[in-house]
Amino acid sequence: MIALHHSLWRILPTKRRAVVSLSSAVVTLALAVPSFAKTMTIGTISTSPVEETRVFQPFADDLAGRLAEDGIDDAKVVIATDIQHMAALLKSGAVDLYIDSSVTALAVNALSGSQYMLRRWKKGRSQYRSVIFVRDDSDIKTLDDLKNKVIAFEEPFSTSGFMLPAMTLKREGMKLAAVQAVHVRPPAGTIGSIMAFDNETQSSWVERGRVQAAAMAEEDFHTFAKTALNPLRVLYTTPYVPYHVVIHRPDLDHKLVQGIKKVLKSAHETQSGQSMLKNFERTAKFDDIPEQLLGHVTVLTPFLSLILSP
Amino acid sequence: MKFGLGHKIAALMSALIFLIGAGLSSVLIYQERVAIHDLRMDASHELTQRTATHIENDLYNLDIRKLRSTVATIMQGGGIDLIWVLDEHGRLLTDGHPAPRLRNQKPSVPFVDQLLGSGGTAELMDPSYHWVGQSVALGDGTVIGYVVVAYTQSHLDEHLRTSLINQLIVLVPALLFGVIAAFFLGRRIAEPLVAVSAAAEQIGDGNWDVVINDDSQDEVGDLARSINAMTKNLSQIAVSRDKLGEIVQRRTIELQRHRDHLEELVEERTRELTKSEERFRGFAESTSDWFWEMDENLCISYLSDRFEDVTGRPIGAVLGKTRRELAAPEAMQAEPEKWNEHFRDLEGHRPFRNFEYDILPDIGEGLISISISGVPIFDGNGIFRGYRGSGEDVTERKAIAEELRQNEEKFRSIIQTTTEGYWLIDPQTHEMLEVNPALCRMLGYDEGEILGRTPLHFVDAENAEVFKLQMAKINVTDHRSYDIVLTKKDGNKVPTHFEASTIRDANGKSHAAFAFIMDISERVQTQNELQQAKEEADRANQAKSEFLSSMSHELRTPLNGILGFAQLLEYDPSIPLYASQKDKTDQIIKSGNHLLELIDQVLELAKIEAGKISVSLENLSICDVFDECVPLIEGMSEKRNITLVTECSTHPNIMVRADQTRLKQVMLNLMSNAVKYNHDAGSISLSSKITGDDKIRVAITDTGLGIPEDVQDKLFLPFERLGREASDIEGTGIGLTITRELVHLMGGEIGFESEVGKGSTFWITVPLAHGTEAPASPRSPVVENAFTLNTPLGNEAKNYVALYVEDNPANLGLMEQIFDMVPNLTLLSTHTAELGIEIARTQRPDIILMDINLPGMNGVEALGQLKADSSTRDIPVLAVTAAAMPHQIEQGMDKGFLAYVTKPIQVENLLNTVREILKLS
Repeated sequence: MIALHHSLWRILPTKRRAVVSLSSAVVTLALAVPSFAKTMTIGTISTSPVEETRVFQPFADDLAGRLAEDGIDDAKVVIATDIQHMAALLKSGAVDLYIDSSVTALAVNALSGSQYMLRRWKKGRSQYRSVIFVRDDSDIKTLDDLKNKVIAFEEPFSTSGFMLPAMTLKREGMKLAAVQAVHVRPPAGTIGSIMAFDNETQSSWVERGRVQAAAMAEEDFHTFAKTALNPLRVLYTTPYVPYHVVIHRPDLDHKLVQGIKKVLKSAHETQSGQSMLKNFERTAKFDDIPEQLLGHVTVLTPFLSLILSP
Repeated sequence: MKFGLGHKIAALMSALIFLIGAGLSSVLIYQERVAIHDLRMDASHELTQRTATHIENDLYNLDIRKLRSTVATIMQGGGIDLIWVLDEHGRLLTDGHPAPRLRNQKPSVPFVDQLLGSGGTAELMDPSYHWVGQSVALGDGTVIGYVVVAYTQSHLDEHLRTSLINQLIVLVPALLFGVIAAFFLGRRIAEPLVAVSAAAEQIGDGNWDVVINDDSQDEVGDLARSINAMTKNLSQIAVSRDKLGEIVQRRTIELQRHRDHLEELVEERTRELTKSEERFRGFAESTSDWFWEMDENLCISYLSDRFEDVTGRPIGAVLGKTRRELAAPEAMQAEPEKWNEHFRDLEGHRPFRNFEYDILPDIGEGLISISISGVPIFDGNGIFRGYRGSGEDVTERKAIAEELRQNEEKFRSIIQTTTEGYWLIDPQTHEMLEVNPALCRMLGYDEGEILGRTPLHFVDAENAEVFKLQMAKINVTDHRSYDIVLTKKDGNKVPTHFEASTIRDANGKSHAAFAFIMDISERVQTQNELQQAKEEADRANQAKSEFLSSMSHELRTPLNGILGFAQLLEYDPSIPLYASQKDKTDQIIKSGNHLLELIDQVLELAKIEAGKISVSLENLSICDVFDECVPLIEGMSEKRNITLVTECSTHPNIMVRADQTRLKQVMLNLMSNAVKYNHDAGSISLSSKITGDDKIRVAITDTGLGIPEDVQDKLFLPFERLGREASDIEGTGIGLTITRELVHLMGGEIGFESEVGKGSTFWITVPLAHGTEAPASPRSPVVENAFTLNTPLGNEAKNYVALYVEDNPANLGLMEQIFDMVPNLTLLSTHTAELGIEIARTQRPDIILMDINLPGMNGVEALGQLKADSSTRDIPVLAVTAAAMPHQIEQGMDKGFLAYVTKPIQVENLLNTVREILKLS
């Protein structure tokens, strides 16, 4: 009965699902042994909620369809505005699964108690790392030399462009101080940080001496390094971290967690699963997060205040 | 093709139109290009200036993201192909795309150098682009960067191309129209001149009759009019002289033509006349008639040669004579009126046809009959000049006619006097044309009451159909023979036989039909009587057959009980008999078999008398027949110590033509008689030899009592025992009767010689066989195996179940006792076929024994139902019945009985049959 009901569900327009959902729940309860069919909510953080929903909803529907035996009969997508928002949603149970970068997930886990679940190979990429670079003719040779200098980061929400390099700098004992403009000197002994909001701007600032360093994803650095006005040099490279991860809310039913993991980890083995993944931002597969890789993330936990502070 | 004045004018005008059009188009295009260029220049300058103003701060801050966004936004507006933001050194910062290829490089474009050198604004148009650039400077004039905007020339060119195409779309049709108009105009101008030129050419050739159209009111028209006047004067002078000569020439030719035609006509007429004369001469010589002419005095003035051939009278002797003088006097006297009429025709100068009269031949006897026809001859003034005509010899024709008349008189006489009816009817209307007195008497009508009526008037509705059918054949068949019942005037019926024929003319068309009608009342009555007698005889035969069949059945049924139980007594090992008891049972069996034999022989005699016995002739070896019969007689002969000698003196391969079974029956009968009527320790000899009439003679000679001469003539009579009825010699008195009939059926003869006290010799003759037909295989002698009732059937380990359907309690009891003896056989029984079928379906016995004469459904019907049912279809069914007539046996086997055992049963035979059937199944 549940399987039949779900097949009907999939062809109903979204707005009607709520009504049907309620009535079907009543009917199901009236006629059968209670099976607690429910809605699974998947969330992410973005400033473009409409666009993100278009990307996530088909994946969520497909995943829910594969979890019918686990009592899932519907899927919903929730877009949070920031880390705190997402953490609250997870904590309240409004969101069951959260998919984002591994460092952002670290912050969310810290706030909500949610847990790492799986690694997502978004766009076929399993891991990445950041670099801090300077002009080659710069006299900055070590991270320490960055003190009293200004480093341009990408943007506050960027893992590779800010979180990872910034938290790594802090882990390395550096102190960062935000500056409002490139020409502003940071407090002594600190590394001035400014958001360029654009990789090309970051690179241009470094090339033209507006700032002394910048941090971005390694691949992006190499792209801009090719056309740099002056030769650039990598000052520091962070460890690899998982590119994208899936985490679940703290009290999500263990059996359901196992069910979700099973479905996602085996999705790439079937044609229909491959189609589902491909339509989800060209995800290659889901797998367990390698211990070592996760360790590169979790060591940054003490430095979450850098990204969580208002 | 001549490029005339018209074409030239047209070409000139076309060129002019084209030039004007092309010139106009070029001017327009140029003007448009200039206008567009100016507009774009203005727009470019304005855009450059605006952009430079907008990006100042972002350029100062080196915010590549915002610069990129601004440039991309402007580009999205369309109309611009390129925007660069350059740094102060002319190096590309952004072109609106992320990570541009030329990033941080100075574009190698001359304009950039020009711009950098200008220090402010610059503009350049090269083959590919139209460049506009402006510096971005701080308040103090420090240049912090540049904005470059470029349009591709291709846009302008595209625009101009579009404009040109539009112009061409308008220009080309206009040009075409102009060219066409030019051609028409040119032709129109040149046409009159062309006409004048053509006319002048004709005048030059001497044609002064040509007239040029001089309607146009211009110089060409004046020229045409002058030329017309000139040619007119000239032609008038020339016509008079030429025409005169022409006329004369034409007339001369016509005269010549007419003269030639006349000569031809004359020749043709002459030929026709000659031909006609020849034709006429040919007719005259070939025909059997002759031609004659009389002058105005009615004297013969001409006779063709044929007259002399026919009449034998020389033509010269006839010429000048009148017809009256030529005719035989007696002919004229015989028919005076005819002659008078003819003379009146002659005097009246009227034509006549087929006037016959007799003349005397010049030589010989008899009169010659001639027939003449003639027409009067008148000259051109209508004056009578005589007669002309033909004549023929009709002597033979008249003789034939006379003969026909006489024949008809004879025919009429026969018709009138015959006792058979006769009528003649019209083949189309079927009305009676003639009848004879016999028919009138037969039907009871007067002649007048019959004539004019159709045959349908004299039959009832049923027989009318017969007449209709026959009358429909009148025009189709020549002769018809049929029987029909006519109705007399008094209403009584008379059966008749018709022999009808159709009379046809020379063309095969029927013009009459006649019939001779015979009263067949007596014949019909005789036929009816014969039919009745036959039907009675058939009924008697049928009754006799049914009686015999019934008798056979009724006698066999109790005999079955008698012989059956006697056999049981003899074969039952559990009840051993004393010698005296055995003698008694032997006697019972013997008597029963004798009675059975009597029944069979009586039936066979009855069949022979009824003609229902048939023989199947085949080639046999007579010696093989001897070999089969001797063992069967040996038992009898040995008991009385009678010697049996077989002498097969013929070559063993000599074949006879006989029925094997019947021949053996005959031989056994004669040989058994030879044993029965012999002395103890006597002898019997068996011999054969070929006779002269292609037969073989077989003789059986015994040393018996002999047959008294006074009773020998009764020997072959049925039931005649010649005084031996009281003796202890067994016999029915029918054997020899049957034997004789069988021998005759096989084409042979039978006879005997006998002497009292010495013995008898009975002989038969059988035809010898000819041809290559293979001899019949000698039938194997019956080998008697030792038999006891308690011998198991088939597979000793298996218990067989048999079902017996029998309504007679005695027969049923007999069978039960017989089957009780067999160790591995269980018998189920029932007294009706319906119950038997039911038991067969439920019990599925291994074999069914079925009586045929049963109450309700009979055995044959029951067999049919068993075969129709899939559950019982394969159970073998054996008929056990007193219906022992051959046709009954044959019918039973055809219906599907696997075997047919007749009552009274022979226990051994029955059980052997059952054994064989069970073995097969």
